[in-house]
Amino acid sequence: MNNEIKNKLNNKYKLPDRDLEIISARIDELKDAIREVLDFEIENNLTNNPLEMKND
Amino acid sequence: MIDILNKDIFELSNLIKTKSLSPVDIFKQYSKRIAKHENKISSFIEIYNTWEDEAKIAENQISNGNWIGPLHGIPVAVKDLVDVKNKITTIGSTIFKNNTATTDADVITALKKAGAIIIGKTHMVEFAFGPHGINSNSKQTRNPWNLDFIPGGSSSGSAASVASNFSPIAIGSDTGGSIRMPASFCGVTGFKPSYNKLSTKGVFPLSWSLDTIGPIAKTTRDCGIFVEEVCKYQSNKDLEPFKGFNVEMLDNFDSMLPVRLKIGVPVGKYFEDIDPEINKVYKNSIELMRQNGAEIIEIDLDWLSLCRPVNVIITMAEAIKIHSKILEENYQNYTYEVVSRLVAGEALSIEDYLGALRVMNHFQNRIDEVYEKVNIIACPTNPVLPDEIKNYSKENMSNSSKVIGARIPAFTSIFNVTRQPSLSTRAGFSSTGLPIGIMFTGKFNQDFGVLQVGNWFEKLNNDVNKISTLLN
Repeated sequence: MNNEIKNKLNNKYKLPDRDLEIISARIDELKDAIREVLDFEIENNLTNNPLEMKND
Repeated sequence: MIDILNKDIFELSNLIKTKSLSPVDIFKQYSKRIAKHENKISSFIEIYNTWEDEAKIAENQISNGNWIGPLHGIPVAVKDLVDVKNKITTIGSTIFKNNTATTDADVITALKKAGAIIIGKTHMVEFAFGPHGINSNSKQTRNPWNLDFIPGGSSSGSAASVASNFSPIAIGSDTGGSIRMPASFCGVTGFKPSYNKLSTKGVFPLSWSLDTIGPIAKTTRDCGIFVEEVCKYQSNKDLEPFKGFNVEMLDNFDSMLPVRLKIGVPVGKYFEDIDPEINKVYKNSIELMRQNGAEIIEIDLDWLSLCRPVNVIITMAEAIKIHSKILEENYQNYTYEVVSRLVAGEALSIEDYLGALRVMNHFQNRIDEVYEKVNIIACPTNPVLPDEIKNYSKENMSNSSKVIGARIPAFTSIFNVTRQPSLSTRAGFSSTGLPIGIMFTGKFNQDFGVLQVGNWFEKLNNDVNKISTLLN
């Protein structure tokens, strides 16, 4: 977890130290997920045009 | 005396309709069993003391010739995130321990109109945010097949109550597999209809883009009855997923189904990374369907693996939006197993969230192409077997850099992103006696086809009424 996020979370929730490790692990997982999705968007040249998006 | 506990709703309702059985008889047998075994399982938060009175009212209505339909007099257990008027909805949290609902959720209104009896609230993972079925706020719900093991979640009490024969059916909710995962771990049938086909008004949200409610029952046929009756009485008739079919037609398709049934079996690294015991039961199930006339077609669906991170991002972004204010004021009152998931969502940016929504949209279109080659996709419900409850202690979860239980929703969460109808039913057992589920997933809006295949498979498999011997 970088310091910017750590400070944000500490200011908002006053995180106990014991929770930091598991939250860091969760954020690391989340970052992996974000990277995978971003790579997919780029590789597949997904449209930026909202009019081409499916509307259920 | 009729052995009520070994019958599904389809059978019970036929007996009720012909006045061979009373809802009061059902109350007596189920409540006797609950009194005997619930302390071992802990599936209910509350059982309403109005059950017997409502059963007597239903009995009078039916004896006077006013039978409403197949849910009339049938008990329904409710996951504790669905509002029942004048009753507490805790959402599995101590923060909401005094939260009395002022109105019924749409699904409850519909069930009451259908004549069903709402019997109580079931345990769940706090705020429905977790696949394991652990909730340190409450008595721990246990897997009826082995009390040391997790029941799966987040609809843990709903699945365990049906698997324990405490109720013939229960309501669950599913954002990444929360109906299908516990149904699989507890050895019963769970159905997630297509997105937005059953109203979620009055159901506490986890992720509004992914949440779906649905039934957990002994059989696919009972899940079909639930969906049909709720659709008949829910206020928005446009949400109807069956499109001209009805539950009585389910069996009609058995003889012709295999002739045209093309089952897609996913191949590729993602879908093949599963427990060997699950793989064995799954392969046997596929072979059983092939021997009975289905065409088996291998399809490379490895690309669907990206739906898992998409599901994670959307769920965490929407969950933190819902919880931010509550969390700020009540951080200490959240459970250790859920609070880290919620807080981590603060690390997401708007670009991350929108990117995930865009990819979700892409997959919703792309998955339709698969159904030009097959009618249904069949895969294991979970890639892993249930874990022991002790592994989810606070120490284990807090000190581990590996997030325990993360692989449980690997397959189920895909089909929330694609918004498809998806059903888990029991395929067999591990060598240690834990249930293993198979999941059938159809094209968006083709819910009836999924129920047809599930119903057909259950009859081939022929063991849907088997109940854990721990509760004999």
